[in-house]
Amino acid sequence: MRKLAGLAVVVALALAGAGASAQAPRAGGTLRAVFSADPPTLDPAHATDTTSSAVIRQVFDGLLELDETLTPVPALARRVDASADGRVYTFALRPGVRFHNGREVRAADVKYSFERAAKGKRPWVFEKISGAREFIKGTADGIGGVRLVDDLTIELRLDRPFAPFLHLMAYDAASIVPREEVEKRGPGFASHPVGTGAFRFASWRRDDQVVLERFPDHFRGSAPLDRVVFRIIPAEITRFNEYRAGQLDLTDVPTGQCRSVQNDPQLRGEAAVWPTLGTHGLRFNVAKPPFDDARLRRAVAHAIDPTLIVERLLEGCVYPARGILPPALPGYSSGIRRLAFDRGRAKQLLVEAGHPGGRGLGPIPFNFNTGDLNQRIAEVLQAQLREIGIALELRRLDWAAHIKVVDDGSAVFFRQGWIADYPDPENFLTVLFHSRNIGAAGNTSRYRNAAVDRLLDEADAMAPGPTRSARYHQAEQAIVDDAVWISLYHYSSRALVKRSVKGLERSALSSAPEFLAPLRRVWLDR
Amino acid sequence: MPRPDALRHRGFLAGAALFAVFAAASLGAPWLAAHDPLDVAAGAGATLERPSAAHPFGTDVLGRDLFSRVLWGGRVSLAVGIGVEALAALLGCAVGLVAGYYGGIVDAALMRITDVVMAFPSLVLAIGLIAVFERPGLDKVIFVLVALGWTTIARVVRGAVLALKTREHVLAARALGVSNLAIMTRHLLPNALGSLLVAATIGVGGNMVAEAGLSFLGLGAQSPTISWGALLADGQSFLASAPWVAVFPGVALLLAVLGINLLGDGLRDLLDPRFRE
Repeated sequence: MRKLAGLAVVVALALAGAGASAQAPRAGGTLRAVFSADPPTLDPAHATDTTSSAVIRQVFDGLLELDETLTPVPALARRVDASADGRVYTFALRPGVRFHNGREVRAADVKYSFERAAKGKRPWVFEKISGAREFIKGTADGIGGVRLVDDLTIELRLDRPFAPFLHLMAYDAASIVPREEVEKRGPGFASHPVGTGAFRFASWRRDDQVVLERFPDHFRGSAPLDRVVFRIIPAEITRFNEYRAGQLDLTDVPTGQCRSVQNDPQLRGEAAVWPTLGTHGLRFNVAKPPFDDARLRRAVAHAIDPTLIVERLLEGCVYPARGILPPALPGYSSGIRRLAFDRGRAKQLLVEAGHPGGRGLGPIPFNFNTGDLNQRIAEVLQAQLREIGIALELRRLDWAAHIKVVDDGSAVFFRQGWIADYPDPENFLTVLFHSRNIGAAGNTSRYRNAAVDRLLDEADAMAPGPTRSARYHQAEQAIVDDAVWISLYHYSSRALVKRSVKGLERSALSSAPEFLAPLRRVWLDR
Repeated sequence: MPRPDALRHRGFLAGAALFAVFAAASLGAPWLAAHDPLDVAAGAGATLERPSAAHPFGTDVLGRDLFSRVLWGGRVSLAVGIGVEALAALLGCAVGLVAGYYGGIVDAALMRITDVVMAFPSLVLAIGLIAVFERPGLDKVIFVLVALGWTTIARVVRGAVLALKTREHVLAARALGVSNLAIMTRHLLPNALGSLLVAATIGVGGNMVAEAGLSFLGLGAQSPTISWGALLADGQSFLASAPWVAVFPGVALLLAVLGINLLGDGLRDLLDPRFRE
């Protein structure tokens, strides 16, 4: 699932504040981080979850990475040139970069890594490259659009221009792996990864801990930390207690304690809340009655007041939503107008739709996946819609069953959030609302609007800039006005980080504290 | 019913009083509840408020009045407890009468089925059975509890029938050619009624606990239906910060079940001559 795919990338704001950056990093020490579950794999080709990605990010590098502003910048590639038509990208590799086994990285490693990963769990990262679909289907021996120019130069050709392509190249699925290690270890590569990253793999005791150690020959120089230990502690309260006892340097904020940790005299300076690239949304299936009628969808949108959810249930630790794109996303517009909470207008729209006071509608099923928060949000919606005469029948399913009824179109009104895989409006608007992506590909609303399709197609092919953003905003407003999706709030990350941890950065792409990256700049002041 | 004895039996009196209070509160919920139990706080209104004059039991995480929710929840909990037992008693009576009266192979077959049903740990079986349905809900809980709950009554009734069927009035009725059905319903059942009533009363408490357990696990009452078990589930996340959300429905369940069990025990003492002082 794309939504769950790894998000651990770089950087938005320096957590430690201005004071820390003035100090010179001190070398040495072990950073004690924590996961709530064992990573399923440490192989970049097979990871689909944020825990795996958090480790993979430290052990591997890609051609590019994202900087503080979420812009792709060189990593293993020292330069990238795009052709004028936006279809050919030429990457010049940094010379002398070594894998953890000592061998130098060559262009052939990129081709090998991409072809290997294209047949892995996240093929969509490579699908824009010419010939990738044929290769994935097995009708071609290699990805035709990947060409080795020389030992340190590689050329990638796309079928059509795709502005966010460089973001894909900064994604951890596109990490570079050494062929000989993969072949030597076989499936064991997933539990003993070898890359070029600032930390190399040291050990992994299942359900206990993953240990990484500094790779002194990293191409950016040696990292300050000696070691990073990711302990695996499933119970939220145990993580919190270990943190309080000084056994962990960072952890998550327990559910329902966002306010209390911020008011706790001891924890106050250690708690951080920051926006991430996600939106909690309600969607309608617009291809099916009763919500094929836009008036009815607008009535529901006008009847819902997310204030109680944002301020009370989530303790004000999330961000109120206007439109679909989250504020932390490059290209966000504050000019989007949401359908405001207005019961009078909602009732009037019900009359116009031929259902005065909800008459003739019957109980409408609302699907959501299991979870305390989702259950409570559903109860808020149920109570608020009752005020205009609409009865919601709550249908709670586990994630797999929920996503099935959402994807196959049998759910008519459902909860489904979205977290960006890469920071570009295309990853929200085109994936979720273009008629080409109807169904499991992302447009589970089954929305079909030729004008919106056209705007999205134009914007997707354009180079980043105000003209492109304007197209996206126009499309976004049209979608909001059509009430295809009702935004409840934008997601945030919450973390507790000891004051002695310096240089840790908060990224809008990191959904939890253990995914704060990169660790190569972190140092300990103790 | 032996009234003079009843008035002297403390357990019976306490049980009857408790039960009467809960029954009255449940029946009177629409008039006693000052707030709509489903109304959430408006805007960013107050939530998780401590008990106060306006909200005697406080409010929950969505700002809903807990006193009203406990009242309305009691309606569901009591109705399920009594309703399930009534249906289970009907089923159990039929099985017990037939098994006890006809005896032989009919008796053996019916009692082995009863044994099999009783052999399963009932809560685990109930969870498994509810999982078979596409969606959980109170109707499924009722179905499952009836399906598993008739066995005690069946055994009690069979036992009573075995003792009664050799009595003179039954033999006389048979000799006169009265039909089997008439003998069972007119001559056997009325005499088994005492033990039946005792078993059924105690069963009501068990059903309420079972329903609360299943609703606590999310398998029973679904919002907007309120039951004490669902309220308990809702409150468990706030045990440390806002204990009243779980404590009030918990205490209500405890007292109501205690009352019914005392009532049941009292009835047994009063109706069974062996226990009479």
